[in-house]
Amino acid sequence: MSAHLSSFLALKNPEAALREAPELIEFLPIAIYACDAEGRVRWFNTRAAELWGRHPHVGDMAERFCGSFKLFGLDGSLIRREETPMAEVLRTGEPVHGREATIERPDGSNLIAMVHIEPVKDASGRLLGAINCFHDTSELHRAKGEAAENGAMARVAETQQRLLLDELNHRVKNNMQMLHALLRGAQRETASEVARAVLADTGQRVGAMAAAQQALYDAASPASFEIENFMNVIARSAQQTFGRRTAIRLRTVQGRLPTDCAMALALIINEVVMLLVKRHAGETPLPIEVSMTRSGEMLRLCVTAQQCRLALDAVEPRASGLGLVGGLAQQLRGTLRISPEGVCVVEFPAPQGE
Amino acid sequence: MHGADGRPPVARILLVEDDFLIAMTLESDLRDGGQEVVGLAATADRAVELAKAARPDFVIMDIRLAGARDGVDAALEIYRETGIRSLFASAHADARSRARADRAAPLGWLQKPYGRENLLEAVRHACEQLPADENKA
Repeated sequence: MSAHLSSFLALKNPEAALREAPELIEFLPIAIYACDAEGRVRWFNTRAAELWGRHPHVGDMAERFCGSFKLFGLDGSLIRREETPMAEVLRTGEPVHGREATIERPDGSNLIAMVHIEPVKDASGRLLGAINCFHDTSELHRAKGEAAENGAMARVAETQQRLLLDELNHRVKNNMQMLHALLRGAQRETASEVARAVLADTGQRVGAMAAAQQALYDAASPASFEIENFMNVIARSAQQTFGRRTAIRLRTVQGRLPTDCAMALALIINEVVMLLVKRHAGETPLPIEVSMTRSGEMLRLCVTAQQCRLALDAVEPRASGLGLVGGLAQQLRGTLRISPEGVCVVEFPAPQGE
Repeated sequence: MHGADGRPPVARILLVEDDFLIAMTLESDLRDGGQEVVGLAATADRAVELAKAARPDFVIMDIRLAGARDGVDAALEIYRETGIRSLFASAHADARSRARADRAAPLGWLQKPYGRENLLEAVRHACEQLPADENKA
């Protein structure tokens, strides 16, 4: 805008424009002043005087180049009159645009101004002077400073939130380890074989829940999790739990599921793998395939072991085995069935998390 | 380090864990699994002291410990002064802790909560990484 303005002011009669202020300068929403080729201030508008906080003496050699009381760079260094952008334009004949400096007023107040200076030349190209349009950018700087401060505060808040989440994750899992330790202690002290087996199974379920907790902690969203990552974590945990007794292979679709599906899914996979491993009599690891596929709007979780078939008994306990799997399938608003080939199939609607 | 006749190797292990219940179970599970527990420490300083005195084959090291120093500090000092490595156990091992622990040449990482099987498998894996020692069989 300033380049157009100064061109308009100067082109028709540049010498006259420098000698006498055009009337319209008082109507401009911007500070403006002109200097001759020696740097003497020839005229300025009221807005310029407001920003300077003073009225420079027109034509005074002692106030060359700039009407301000003092001028500083943004780094706080003093800018002498001969170093001002106006002096530079008059020395080089080249315009200066968008440069900023701090104006200090006689009353000690200050502001940041951005200058746009155009050289004024006659038809032969001889430099006659220059016109400087400048405006107050202090508010912009304050806003930038606040934004930077807000950004820094947001980063601090984010770090604190991450520390809190880390701490919570640590506490949850450490408590699970303590629960596991209590179960192991009870298992060791009981004389009952049945109680020992039940306590061992419960410990393994706690392990599956811990794996789900870790997967949810690692998920980018608090509302949903990525199916493939989650299934990988759960399968890896089951593989670690059952060690050399099984070799788990995973095949899964991609997509997302709501967070509240996580524990049920983890427990289902753990329970079925545990059942299969218990029924496996061989010495070699039992190959188990865990797959999650999509069928229309339904997701289908299958747990298969060729060498070991499952069958639903007439009465299944509800707190363990396939009874537990059936209950967890219902929690997912789905169903459990055992296929004629003895494969455990849990089908459930793919909820909104996807 | 390998067991004779296909038997699992017996390792002399120092446990560093500040939670009584967890330490107790850890010790029992290791002993049930045929391993030898040479000491139990709840702080980093005590862990360093015991490692120097008992010279275990390796340390099972919790990250968070009672006292000012954590398990990574202890593992680094033990490795620096004795060359003994650690198998780390933690409920939440962040990337920074893992990066710090790298200089102690970790024998592995056990994610809490872990069961007996996980523990013994990790111990077996740790033993496989240690140099063969005929006297350990």
